[in-house]
Amino acid sequence: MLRMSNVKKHYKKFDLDCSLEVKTGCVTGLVGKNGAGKSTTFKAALGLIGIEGGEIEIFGKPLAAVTAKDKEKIGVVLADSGFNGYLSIKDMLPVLASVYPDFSKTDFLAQCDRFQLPIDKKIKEFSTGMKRKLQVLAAVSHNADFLILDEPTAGLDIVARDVLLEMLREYMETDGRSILISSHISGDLEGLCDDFYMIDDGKIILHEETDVLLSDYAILKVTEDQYRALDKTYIRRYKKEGFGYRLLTDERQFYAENYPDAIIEKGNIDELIMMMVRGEKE
Amino acid sequence: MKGLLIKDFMFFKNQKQLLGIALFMTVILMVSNRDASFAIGYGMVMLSTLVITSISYDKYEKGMSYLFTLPVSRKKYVQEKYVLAIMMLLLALAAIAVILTVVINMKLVPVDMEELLLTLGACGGMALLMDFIMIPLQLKFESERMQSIYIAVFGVVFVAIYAVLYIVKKVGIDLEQTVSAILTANLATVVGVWILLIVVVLLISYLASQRIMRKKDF
Repeated sequence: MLRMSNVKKHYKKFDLDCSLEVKTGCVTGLVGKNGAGKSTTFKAALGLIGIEGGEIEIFGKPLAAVTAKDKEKIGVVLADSGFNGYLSIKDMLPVLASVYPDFSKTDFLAQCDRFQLPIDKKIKEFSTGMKRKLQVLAAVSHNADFLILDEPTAGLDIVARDVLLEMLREYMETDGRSILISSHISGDLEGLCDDFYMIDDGKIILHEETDVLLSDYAILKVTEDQYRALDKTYIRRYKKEGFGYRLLTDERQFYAENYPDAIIEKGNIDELIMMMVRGEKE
Repeated sequence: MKGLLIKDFMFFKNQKQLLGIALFMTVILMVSNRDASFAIGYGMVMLSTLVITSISYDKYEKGMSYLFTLPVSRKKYVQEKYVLAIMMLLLALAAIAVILTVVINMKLVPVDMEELLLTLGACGGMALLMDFIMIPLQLKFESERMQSIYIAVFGVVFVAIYAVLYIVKKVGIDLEQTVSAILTANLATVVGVWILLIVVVLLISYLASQRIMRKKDF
């Protein structure tokens, strides 16, 4: 669905050098701290920024060859941009119907009603959460094959977040669809994504399937003595703590079997990000 | 392009108060001066500035990034702005035709048909030229910088006009008589040169706008 190979973009204080792939039928998560390069990666994939190196393919075509017809099959949520604030949802309806032949006005309005979005109010008067809901609803309203969603749940309350994630799961029930999604709330992604890319300082530092991440990765807490005696073959990162060391491993079973005294915790995505970014390499 | 045009007309629909005031002012200026020329210029310029305003609306809160995730190419976006400029001119002409029909029938304003056509041609051309100069600038620069660019552009135009008038006066030419003489003797040539100038500026402006948009990061 999407392939980015060694995509490079240079800014004054930031360099992106990113490779990732979103396979058909998969939901791929892109995680990383603020400023790690998530939005830049999304913008590069959408052709919103020029790149200085590498290749981007969408639907098997180089980005430069992607036509307006192809873009009809992509639904997008951007973290820092959205529908024009001077228009209302009612004003946007004929625009969406005109640019997306498969746009379903009835379904879209029903969803706006479900999410309590006023259709006559100017969008600039919407709250951040309302703007985000609107973008997600628009992204899934035109029978797209591929959703590119940058922080789609930002600013949403827990109920709205849950309903939106449910909507994305329903969206994936149709064959041949894919999603690339980023979120700073790892819980949103753990239950949704098939695989994860972790980005830091413009570079992908980890790519793993969610199942592997949740079953094989773990946080080890060991004392200094335990640390010295530990086989560090499968330790990806370590961090000095008051009690000794916090370690990240991708072979939980190995340490569970061989070091029964060590405290082993199944890490969530947040802890993994923390360790991958702030921990040191062995 | 249809979707983009719909979007822009939706913007304009939301500006109906402003458009109503512009229409009212045009009629008032026409009737109070008992002269159509200035009011025609005012009406046309007011409508043509909406094209530039529509670009700044598109830029509001980085809206262009989202716009270009829709099935809209940068090339089509630029084309749409030029089509919009011409549509706005035609709309302005239609509105002025309606107003003129009413005020002439009510004998509120005396109208010399030849002078009226010349005024329409001159003001319509000026409105287009203004759009053609401002579209690439509005695309290139951020809205915050546009204010100083507006002042600079109008400053240059003002100084140029002042300089021409000053030189003409110094040389001792009666400008009104000279223009009138040129128009009487060479009307076809003047109209031809005027149209040619508009077309040349349109081409330069269009190519510049396309280039600016091709290179722009959103």
